Amino acid sequence: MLRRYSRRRTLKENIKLAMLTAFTAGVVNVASLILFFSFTSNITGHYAILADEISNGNYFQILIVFVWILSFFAGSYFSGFFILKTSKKHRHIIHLLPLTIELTLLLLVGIYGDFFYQESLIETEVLVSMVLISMGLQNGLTATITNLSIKTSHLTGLTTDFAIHLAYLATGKKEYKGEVIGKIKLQSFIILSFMLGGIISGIYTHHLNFKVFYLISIIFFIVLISDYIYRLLKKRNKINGSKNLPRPIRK
Amino acid sequence: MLVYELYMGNLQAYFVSPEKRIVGQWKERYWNYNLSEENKFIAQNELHNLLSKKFYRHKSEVWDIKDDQTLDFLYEDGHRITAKWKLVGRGHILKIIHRNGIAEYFQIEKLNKRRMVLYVENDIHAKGKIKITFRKNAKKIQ
Repeated sequence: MLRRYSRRRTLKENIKLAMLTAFTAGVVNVASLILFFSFTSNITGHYAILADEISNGNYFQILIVFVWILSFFAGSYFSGFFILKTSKKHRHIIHLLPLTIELTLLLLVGIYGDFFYQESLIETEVLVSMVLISMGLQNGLTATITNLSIKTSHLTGLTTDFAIHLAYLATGKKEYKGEVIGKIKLQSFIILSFMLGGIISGIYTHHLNFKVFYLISIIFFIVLISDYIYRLLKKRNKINGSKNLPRPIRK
Repeated sequence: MLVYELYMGNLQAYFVSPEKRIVGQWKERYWNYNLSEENKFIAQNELHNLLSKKFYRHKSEVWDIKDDQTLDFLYEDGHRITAKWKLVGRGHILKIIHRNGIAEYFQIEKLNKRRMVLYVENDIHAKGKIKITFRKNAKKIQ
């Protein structure tokens, strides 16, 4: 799901990655709304809020929202920079660092919220910033490794693309039809996974509170471990396979 | 140096956390109900009664918001009710937790040295907005 980079990725791999990341973004977004009264998987709303706070002259809130936007930006920037900077030789592990940081941040938010959170304003701002960094990391990672074809933490652009692709099919044009159907499939899975994550989060965050962040961390941990085991097995099979190959006949 | 200090002092004043700005005694001034068109048939008193059943009614009170995160509702007859308060979100939601554990949420529309405007955060939103306007008490009631 995570190993292949850019154009070498198949539709199936992209769908798997998109479902995972959209689901987690949905869970995190609704959990943040319930726990912090703030969206954290997208920042379109934060730009609108920033403009509103500027017009009202609320300097403290301007600073907070600006830091939030910057947090998401920093996460995306780091993911993009790290992936693009990684040499081709190590492309199969490019996802490791951003996902590990994301997992750690979400786990820290869960632990802090579960044991230490006093609901003070400064704590809320820091925790929201951490969640925004992790969502930025995730979005930057998926966007970069899929050659900008997947962005799963917000659905504005995706809904537009989805509508355009459906409109294309409605015109009856046959050129690129297969590719368009593939994109529609991918986008539908993203929307459904995001929704599913949101619904599950909406139901369980009221009972689990910050423990919901453990759930996301566990999911990411399982994905990382299974990806590692898969790669290990593939490598072993490759070695075993090369051992069994018939020796070239010398003349 | 003096200019720098004045500038920094002003800057700090601008960046006062709403958690500090909200501390003080606030006298309720008005309750406004901006009813949507389809609900205009509900008389304002009726709506007020409906609201008082749904959550605590604070009319004609002074809200004494203290920096230790406690809040006293001071009534005209002299009795007071204590609750806890917190600011959530980016400091735009006031959460009041009553002794029985019931939490009320108010969206802070305006908060400055003299005036505070709150909107009631409730599912009654569907029926329109409920606005409470406060004026800060210059003279503190003990």
